[in-house]
Amino acid sequence: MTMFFRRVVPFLIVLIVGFLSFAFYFVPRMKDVWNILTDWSLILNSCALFVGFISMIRSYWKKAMTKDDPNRWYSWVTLASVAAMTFVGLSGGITEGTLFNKLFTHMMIPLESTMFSLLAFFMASAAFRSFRLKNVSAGLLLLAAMIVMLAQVPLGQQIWSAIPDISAWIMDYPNVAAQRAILIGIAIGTVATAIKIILGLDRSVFSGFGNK
Amino acid sequence: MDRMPRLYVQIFLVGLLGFASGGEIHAQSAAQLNAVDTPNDSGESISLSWVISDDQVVKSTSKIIVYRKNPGENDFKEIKQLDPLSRTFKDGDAVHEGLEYFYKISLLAKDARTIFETQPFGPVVARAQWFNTSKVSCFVFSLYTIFIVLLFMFWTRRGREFYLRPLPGVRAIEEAVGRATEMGRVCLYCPGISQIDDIATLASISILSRVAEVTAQYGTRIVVPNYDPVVYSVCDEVVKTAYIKVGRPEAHRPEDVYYLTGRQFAYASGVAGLIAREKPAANFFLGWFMAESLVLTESGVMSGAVQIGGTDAITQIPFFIVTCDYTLIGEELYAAGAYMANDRKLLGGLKGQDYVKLGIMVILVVLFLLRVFGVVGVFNLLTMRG
Repeated sequence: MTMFFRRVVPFLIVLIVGFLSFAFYFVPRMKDVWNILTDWSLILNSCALFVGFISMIRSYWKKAMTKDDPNRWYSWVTLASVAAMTFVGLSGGITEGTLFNKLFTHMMIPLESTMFSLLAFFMASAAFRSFRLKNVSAGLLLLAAMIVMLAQVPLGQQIWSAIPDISAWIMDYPNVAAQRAILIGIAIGTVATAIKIILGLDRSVFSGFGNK
Repeated sequence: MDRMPRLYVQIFLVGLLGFASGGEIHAQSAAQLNAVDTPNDSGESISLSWVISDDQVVKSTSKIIVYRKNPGENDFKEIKQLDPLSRTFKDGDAVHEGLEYFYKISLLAKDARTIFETQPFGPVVARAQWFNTSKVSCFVFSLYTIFIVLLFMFWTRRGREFYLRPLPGVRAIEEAVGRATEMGRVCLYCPGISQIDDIATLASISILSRVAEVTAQYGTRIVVPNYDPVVYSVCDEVVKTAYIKVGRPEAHRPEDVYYLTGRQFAYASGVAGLIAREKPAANFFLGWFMAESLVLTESGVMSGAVQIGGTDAITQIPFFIVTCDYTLIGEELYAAGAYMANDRKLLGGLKGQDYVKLGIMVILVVLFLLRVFGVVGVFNLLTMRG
């Protein structure tokens, strides 16, 4: 019975919903049914968020209670933050002007912006490591990167007036060609992977037992 | 003699009639309205189009008003005001399938005077179609791909062998886990920041099931922080099942697979902090990523971990190539699960994908040649309209 619910039921759900999803894309008459299924998925996502919340609390609580772990204070900060925001949101609401909204706007958004700003430094360090003249292909990469970077600033045009045009050509032709080639492969792979999962040929997603 | 005065009177009356009705006769042909059921929809809209043939009317028009008479009503009601250059309108406001609607349009001058008003057009009935004909090319391509993939799977089950090029990233997974075991450190696995319905996430979970089996065999911890709660639920089950399958359920730590956060850079911050504290020896970034990918992988580079990355997000592939030791590009991410499973059927499906690509290349070359020689109609078969 357990195997029936762990293997057969998920497979049947995926088979039916997968087939219907494929059909609904081409059948305009079924748009209303598809909208209902989409609403159901939103409800399921909300329930899953509750489950995820509990798992997060469980994970961080265990770390926080581990006295040998020198990093357990980070877990305490996480738990305190979760508790505070939950209390503030439930008690005062989350609309504009509430404490929850102010905490989100004045703490969360700046923190996210800070993380986003780190990308500039990470990109510089990644570029420093990767743009090395080791062989022909690395040399081509270095040359193309230099041209494209110089074209982003007025200095590039000052050095050579053709740099912006060359940069535009690099971005419009070889770059787009490579992207389209990868996209075609991705599109085909998407269809093939989807059909394997829908038909149950690859069941590793269901139970981790694979095909055995 | 009597015939001549009668003829003169007739000519006079015709001329008088023409003079009196000159404006109306002129305006009767000023605009023609047409309304049809919108094709390829679910019966919720009607498409109107009109032609204004009189240049004088075109110049004088400053506004076009669309009127509709609903079923069971006697009067026309205004439903839309359009600019004078509009020639089409799609009425999707409270249009129900199967009911009869009538339409007319009025052309107004700047002083709100009606220059011309069309005769009521109708009845027009909105119908839902069973097949979206603008997506025929997509449908044919999907069936072609499915057929070829299943055909090759069938052939491999029958015993036919096909060559598949090895993926260095897949081979490196077991080495990376072995390295982590030797160093006594954990493995970090990030399944991306997309939802469960994304193929990249499903492919990542498929790979996770195999990676978890390897870590279970080696006795190494695998930490899986998740961005999406549904993905967390699936990953939790997949990892737990992998440990059970290997016969080491007691080695599984439930707290190692958890939901971290649903915010992009909060997730990046959490994983970067995890890398800084736990210092994993092997990092797996497999799935769909966005701007936070460089934060994750650069943090891993700084910690000295072996990194295997894979994504189908075109914009992030360059970052993975630069920062990861091994990268699965695009469809290689989807193929990695089949490689690791070493299942003949799944490997046959991979070969089928290659032949689908071959077919597409042939079609592209043929279409290119047709276009070069001036045959353009065939090209429209590939486009999806509406």
